[in-house]
Amino acid sequence: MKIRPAKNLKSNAGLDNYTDQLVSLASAGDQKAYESLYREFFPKISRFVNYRVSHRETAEDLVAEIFVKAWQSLQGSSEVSSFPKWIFTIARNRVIDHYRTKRPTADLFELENLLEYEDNIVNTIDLDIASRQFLEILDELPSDQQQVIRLKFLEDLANEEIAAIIDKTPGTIRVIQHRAIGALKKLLKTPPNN
Amino acid sequence: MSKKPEDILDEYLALLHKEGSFSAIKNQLPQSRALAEQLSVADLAWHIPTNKPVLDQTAVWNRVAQQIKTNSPQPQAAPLASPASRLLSGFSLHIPKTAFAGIMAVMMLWMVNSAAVAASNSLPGQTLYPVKRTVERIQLTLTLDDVKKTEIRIKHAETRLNEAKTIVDTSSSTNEKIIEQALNDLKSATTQVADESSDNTDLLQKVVELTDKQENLLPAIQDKVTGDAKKIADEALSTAKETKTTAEKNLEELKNQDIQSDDTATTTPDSLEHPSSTPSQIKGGGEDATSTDDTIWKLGSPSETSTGIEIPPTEQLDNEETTTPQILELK
Repeated sequence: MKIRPAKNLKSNAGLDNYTDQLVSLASAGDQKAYESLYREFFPKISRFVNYRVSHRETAEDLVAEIFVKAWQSLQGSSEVSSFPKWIFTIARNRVIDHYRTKRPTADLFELENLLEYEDNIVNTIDLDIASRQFLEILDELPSDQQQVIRLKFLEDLANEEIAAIIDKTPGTIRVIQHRAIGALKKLLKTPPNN
Repeated sequence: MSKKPEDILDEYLALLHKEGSFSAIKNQLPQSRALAEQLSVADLAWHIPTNKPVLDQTAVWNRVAQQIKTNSPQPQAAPLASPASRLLSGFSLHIPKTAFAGIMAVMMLWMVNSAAVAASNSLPGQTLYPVKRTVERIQLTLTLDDVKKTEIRIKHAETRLNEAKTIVDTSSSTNEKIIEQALNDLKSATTQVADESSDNTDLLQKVVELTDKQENLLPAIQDKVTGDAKKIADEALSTAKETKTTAEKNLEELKNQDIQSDDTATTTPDSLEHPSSTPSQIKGGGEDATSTDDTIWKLGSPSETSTGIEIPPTEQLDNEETTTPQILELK
C-alpha cells in the first residue's frame, strides 16, 4: 500500500524509520501523521480481527476501538519503543475482551486460546489440493506452532507482531517457526494413510 | 560464529516475502536442500487464498477520526504537565515549580500592593473604596500598641472628614446616601477616639486638632447638603463640638495634675533636710528601723511626718534601749 506522507514530516537522524517518525508526530497530536499510521497498519489489524470475529460490523467496531485506544495512549506516552508490537498488544487484548463479553464464565487461559479463527478456511474457501492439504496437516501441529504459522503466513505478520500477540519474544517466534516448517515439510512429504 | 538454523531460515523467509515467490529467489539460495524445502513450504503457505471480506478502511477511519476529535485529550493538557508549563504553554521556557511559586507570590504581593495604593485615594461609592477600608482594618489589626492604634483611628477619622468634604465638593445630590454614610462614619470615629484618648495628653491634643478641623469643615458641608444628610451633618458637628469641649477639659485636668505632681516632686527633697532629723536618725526610729532611702522618700513633707510617725530623738532611743532590761528584771 502506498502511504500518504503526513504534513510536516521531516527526516530525523534520531528516528529509525518512517513509522517511528509518524509515531513521534502522532504523539505530539498530529492527526495527519496518525492517519498515515492507520493506513499502514489497518490491513494487518483488520485482518487479525476479521479472522477472529466473524461478524463484519462487530469486527469494524473493534478495529475502530483499537485505533482510538492507540491514539489516546500515544498522547500520554513520551516514547513508544515499537509501535507494531504496541498496537498488536492492544488488538490482542481488545479481542480477548470481546470474547470475555461473549463468554463471561470462561477463564483467561481459555480465552487466549480462542485467538484462533472463528471460521474454518478449509470448509469456506474453494482451495486447490495443495492448499487444502496444507491446512489439514496444519491442524496436526502443536497449538503454538499452528498459531505462529497462521499469523506468519496466512495473516502476513512480522515476527515482532506475532510476539506481541502470543506474548513471546521474537527469538522464540523464530525457533517455533523453524520447528513448525520442519514438521510441515515432513508431514507434506508423508503420503496420507488412507 | 555460525548462525543458528532458525535465524538462517528467517533471513531467507524475509527474502522470499520480499520477492514474492520461491522461483524468484531460487538462484540466490545456498546449496542446502533442507532450506529449499522449508522455503517451498513457506511459499505454499503464503499463497493460500482466503475469502474473508476486507473491512471498509475509510468508514472505520471516519469513526476513528471522529472519536479522536471529540474524546481524546489534547497533548497540551496532559495530566503530568506542571502548572508552569500549562500556564506558559505558548512559550518554550521551562520553569521549576519552586521558582514558579516564588514568581507567583511576588506577583500576588505586587498586585495587592498596587491595589492598595490605587485604593488609597478612592472615595465612598467607588469600586476600590472597600479595598481602602480593608487596608485600614488590616493596619489596625496589625498594630498591637493601644496608643498607636488610637493615633491610627484619629488619622482614619480625619480621612473620613476629608472624604466627606471631597464628595460634597465634587458630587451631585444623587450621592446623598454616600455622603450620609461618610458623615456617620466620621461621627462614630470621632466618638471612639475621644473615648480612647481621655487619659493621654498627646492623644487628647490630636483629638482637639481633629475636632477643630471638623468645626471648620462641617459648616461648609452643611451648607451643601439637604434632608437627612444635612441632619447627620448637624449631628456630626455637634458631636465634634462636644468632643472638643470634653477633650479640652480632660486636657486641662491632666495638665493641672502634672503641675501638682511636679510641685510635689520638687518639695520632697526639702523634707529630707530637716535640721533635727538626718537619715541616720530616721533609720534609728520606729518599727521600720531598717528602712532604706525608699522609706525616707515615703515620709514626704515635714508636716506629713509630724502627723504620722513621730520620730524620737536619738538620745531618747538610747535611753529606751537601756531601760528595757530593767523592766524585764522587774517581771
